[in-house]
Amino acid sequence: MKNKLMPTIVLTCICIIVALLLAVVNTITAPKIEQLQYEKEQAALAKVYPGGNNFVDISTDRLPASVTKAYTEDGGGYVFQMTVTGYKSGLIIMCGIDPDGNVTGADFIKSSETLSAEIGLGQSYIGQNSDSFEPILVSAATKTTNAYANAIKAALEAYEILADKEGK
Amino acid sequence: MKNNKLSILLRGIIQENPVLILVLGTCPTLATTGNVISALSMGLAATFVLVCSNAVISALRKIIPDTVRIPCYIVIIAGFVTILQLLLQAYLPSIYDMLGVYLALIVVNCIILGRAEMFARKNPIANSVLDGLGMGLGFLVALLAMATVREVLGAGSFAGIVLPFMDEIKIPILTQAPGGYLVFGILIAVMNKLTEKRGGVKKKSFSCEGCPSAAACKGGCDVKTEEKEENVNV
Repeated sequence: MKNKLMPTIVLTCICIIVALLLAVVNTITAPKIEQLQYEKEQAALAKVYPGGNNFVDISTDRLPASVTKAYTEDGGGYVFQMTVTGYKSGLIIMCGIDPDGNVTGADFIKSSETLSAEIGLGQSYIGQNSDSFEPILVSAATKTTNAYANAIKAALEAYEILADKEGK
Repeated sequence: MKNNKLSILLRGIIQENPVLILVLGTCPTLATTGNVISALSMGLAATFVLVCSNAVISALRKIIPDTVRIPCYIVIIAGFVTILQLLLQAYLPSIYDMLGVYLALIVVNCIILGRAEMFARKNPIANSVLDGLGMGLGFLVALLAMATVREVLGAGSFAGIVLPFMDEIKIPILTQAPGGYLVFGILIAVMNKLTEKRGGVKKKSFSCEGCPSAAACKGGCDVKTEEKEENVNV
């Protein structure tokens, strides 16, 4: 009986000790990681919305499903974060839109895809709005650029919803 | 005694180099040797995990039952890798981003599990730590050698510092996957040549202890090996 129980007891004890150790390290590093993530997010927001001030996180209820985060800024513009699927799921793109509804910038936040020319796609969408929106595609088969175009379209739709709500 | 400890430490660097002689840890070797900084980071990260896991596994070698030893080793190794991930994410985020998924993949690096199984579970703590350090340094040296060739000849820079005289003669494919395989093959060939001069790597006879088919075959491998040796002698 002892021989049968011993492996289970030893493995359980090792798991508990390792979990406790990880909890201690996590407690020490969590605030620092959170702070770094906040700074990274602010840098990304400033990149897609140059000159924007005091970005505030707002609710994404009633916005298109791919919009996972939305921010307002003091000047009346918005920044949207979209999670879309290219070759793989989890492609995160951020897009800034000024108070007139024009795209101020867009960029990849997280990607598991092999990016080459797609890195500069955000620049190509600057100045587009809901009326002038035109997807920038290499071909209909390029999944990353399609996903990028869908993300920008979702951001413009989200802007329209919020602008209607505010009566702009 | 001192010589014995020194030989344990040095064995992993040349004689039993994990990358160039044992051909273990090929995935991170090919993936992180595009530049010297990422190779150095990966080498140091793997050395940290190797030393810590070897020490703990050696300390617990009399407590861990044989039947659950692999799950126990994996939990211990994964624990150290996660600690390293959290520390890098908090204090060296650029290195954390640079290594990406390959940092988490240290858990399944065969060098680490291999040393736990082949050395740490049979030897005292001090020797296991030295073995982990030696193997880690061997891994680091191999990664640095490969990254230096790939970055200097492929990108015309060293650790991000541009080498002006290399700019016009660089071979960009060396920084990509095919170049990685090419340099890896050449370094293995060079290492084989070097060890050949030293008398070659002796073939070891493996015991049935760690073989999953041991119960069924009853030492068949040993019998076959002996038969082959006899035939050769005849």
